[in-house]
Amino acid sequence: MALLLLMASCKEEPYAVPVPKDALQNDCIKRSLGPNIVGNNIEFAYAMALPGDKGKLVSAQVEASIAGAATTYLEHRSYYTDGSGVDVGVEVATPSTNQGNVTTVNFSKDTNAVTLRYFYTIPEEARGKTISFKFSARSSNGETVNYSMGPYTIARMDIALDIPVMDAANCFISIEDMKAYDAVDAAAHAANIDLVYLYRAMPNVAFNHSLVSPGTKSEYLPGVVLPPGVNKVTKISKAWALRDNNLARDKYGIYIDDIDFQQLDIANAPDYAINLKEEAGAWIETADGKYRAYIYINKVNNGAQSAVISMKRYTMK
Amino acid sequence: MIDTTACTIHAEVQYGTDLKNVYPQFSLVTDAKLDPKITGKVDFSDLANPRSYTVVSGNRQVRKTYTVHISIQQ
Repeated sequence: MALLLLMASCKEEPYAVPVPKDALQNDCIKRSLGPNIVGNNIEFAYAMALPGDKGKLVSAQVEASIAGAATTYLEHRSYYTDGSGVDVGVEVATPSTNQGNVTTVNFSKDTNAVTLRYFYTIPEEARGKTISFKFSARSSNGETVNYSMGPYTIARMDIALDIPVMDAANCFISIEDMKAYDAVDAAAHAANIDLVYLYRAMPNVAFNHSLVSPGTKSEYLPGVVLPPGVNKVTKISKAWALRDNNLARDKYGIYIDDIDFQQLDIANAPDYAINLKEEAGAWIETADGKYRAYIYINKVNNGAQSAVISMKRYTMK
Repeated sequence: MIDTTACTIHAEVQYGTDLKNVYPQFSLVTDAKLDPKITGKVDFSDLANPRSYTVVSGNRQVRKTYTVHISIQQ
C-alpha cells in the first residue's frame, strides 16, 4: 500500500529553462585553495548579470579590508575556451585600477552578463590577520548589487621556492635566511647555518642526497670541511609522500598550513636525513626552536651532485 | 639471525638508520605473545646495553628471553 502511494506522488516534470530574476544579480566563488600565504594570490571569480532589455553593466569593483599589493587586479577580459581548449580573452572593460583598498574596472563594451576573475596579492601587512572582500557591480539602469566574501585567515608562514643547492658549493642552508650559501658566505653567516646538503655515492651505502646538521656525527659529513662556527644541531625528520601543493606545484592536493607547524613534534628526531629522493621532504626544527620548516626536494641531479629545494618556514616565537 | 639456544637476535640495519626511533616487528608462533608489548617507536641506540624481549608461549607456561643486538651496516 505504502509503495503505491510513493509511486503516485513522484511525477516527472519536463525540464524548463529557469526564468531569471528581473534585476541585476551577482555571485562569487573563491577559486584558490590551500593556505593564504603572503606574496601569493587569492583568486575569485565574480559573476554579474542583468536581463538584456534592462540595460548593460557599467562597472565592477572589489573592496578588500586590507589593501592588496600592487599586483592585485580585477580581470578586464571575459574568457571563453576555443575549440583547441585554449582560453581566449575578449576585452570587455578597461584594465583595472587600484585606489587604496578598492580595485575597479569600467566596462567599455556593451555587455549584460560577465564573469571576471579577481587576483588579490596578499601584502605583508596582512600576515596572520583576516581579510574580507566586498564585490560590487553597477548597471546602466542605476542598480547596484554586492557580494561579501570572507573573512579569510592569512597564514603566518613564509615560503621560498626553488633554492638550488650543490654539493661542495652552495650547500650550507640557512632556515632564517631561506637561502643556501657557499663556504665563503657561510663563514660570514655561521650563526645562521642550520643544514648542510651533500651528495655521496658510496658503495654499499645508500647515502645519496642528504640534509644533515652541521653538528651531527662526523660520519654523516664525510669529506665535508665545515666553515668555522658552523656547528648547529638541527632536528630533521624525513617525510614520505608529502608533496605540498605550494612547494611541489604538482598535481597533489595536499597543503601544509600554520597549524601543522604548531602541532609538529619532532623533539626525538635525528639530526641527519640521508638518502633523500626527489619528491621527498623533511620536517626541520632549528636548534634554538625559533623556526620550524618543511623542506621539499623538487629535483635531484645525481651527475651534477645537486638538487633544487623549496621550503615553508614558520616562526615559532 | 636468531639463535634459539643462546637466546640472541642479531639484526643489521641500513646505514643511516636512526636507532632512537626504530619500530621493531616480531613474528611469533601461534598464540605466543611478546613482553614488553611493542606500542610504537623504540630506542635501540644504547649499543652497550642491548634490549631484551621475552616470548611467552601460547599456554603461558614457557618464557624465553632474547637479547636483541643491532648492528649498523657500514
